[in-house]
Amino acid sequence: MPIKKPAPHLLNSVKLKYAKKQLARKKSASYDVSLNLTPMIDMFVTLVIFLLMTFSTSGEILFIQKDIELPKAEKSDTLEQAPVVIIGAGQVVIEGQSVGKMDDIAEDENFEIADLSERLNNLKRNYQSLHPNQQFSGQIIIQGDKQIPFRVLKKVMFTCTSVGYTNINFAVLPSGGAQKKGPESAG
Amino acid sequence: MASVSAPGGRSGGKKNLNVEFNLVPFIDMLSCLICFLLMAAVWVQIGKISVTQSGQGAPTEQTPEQRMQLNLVVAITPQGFLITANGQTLQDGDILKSGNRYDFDRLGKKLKEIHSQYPDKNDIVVMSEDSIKYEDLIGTMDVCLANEFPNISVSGTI
Repeated sequence: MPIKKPAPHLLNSVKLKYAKKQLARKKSASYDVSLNLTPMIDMFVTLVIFLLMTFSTSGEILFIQKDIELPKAEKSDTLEQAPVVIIGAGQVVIEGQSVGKMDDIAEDENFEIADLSERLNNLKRNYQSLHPNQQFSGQIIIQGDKQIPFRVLKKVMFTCTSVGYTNINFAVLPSGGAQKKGPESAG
Repeated sequence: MASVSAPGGRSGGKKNLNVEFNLVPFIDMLSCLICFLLMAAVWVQIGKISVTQSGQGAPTEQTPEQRMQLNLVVAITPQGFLITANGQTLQDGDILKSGNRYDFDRLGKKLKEIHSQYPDKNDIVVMSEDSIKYEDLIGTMDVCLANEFPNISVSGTI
């Protein structure tokens, strides 16, 4: 008598005929998966509400440089669009162009920084030619690292005011407290 | 399943009241909105402190009225603060550092006291020595702003 592979054994309570019938039914495997979109929509709505609350119409006015740590201040105004002079990482930069090294500027006896003065003059002339009917506001932003000495800062400020940028704004990081929303600076 | 019999229709005819919302346009709109807001987001808020520069140019002749006005100056030295009015040091106007840090609290109290005596006075001159760090200058200006002196001028001559 040949030896056959034993068939699956079922318990006595299950009638083999019934089991065979069930197994014999050809059921095609269904791969349909219903994706639950409710949590995804909840997340989208939460994200939209958060982004709408942090939305700023003025946009990014100046970008934080990686080598520069801004000082913190509790009372600060909202920043407005203006040319930016960056003092940090050993040099003074305006509009992406370096105008001098901090050490050289500190040791120089002259108060005015020639390169910076020239570039600021160019910016001022460009603005006046593009906006002939508007008064020149003289606004400028100084973005400085918190460790820079005052001897360099005063020369940059002197150069700015001598060219006509008399409304100097120091960029700071607001630290808690309420932002001051007051009148513009005198100048 | 909710249903209602349609009047005038065949007897036994039921109208299905279940309505399915098409959420696809809504999800599309949310995706576009999120993409736009992410690109336009400003992640770091930066503020400004506005100043003017004083002490420039040749000294001008002062009128008697100008000489009567209180000329308040806060000088930042490596030892601490020195508050002067019309060239004279005020009482308790010499505020030394506490440890290695500038005593901004005492400076704030003194400025508050001065403002209470001269409520119309809102301009102040901040003088600094060359070696003073920028963060100390900003801290001083911040204290001036917090104590009702919004018109700040910065000078380098001590």
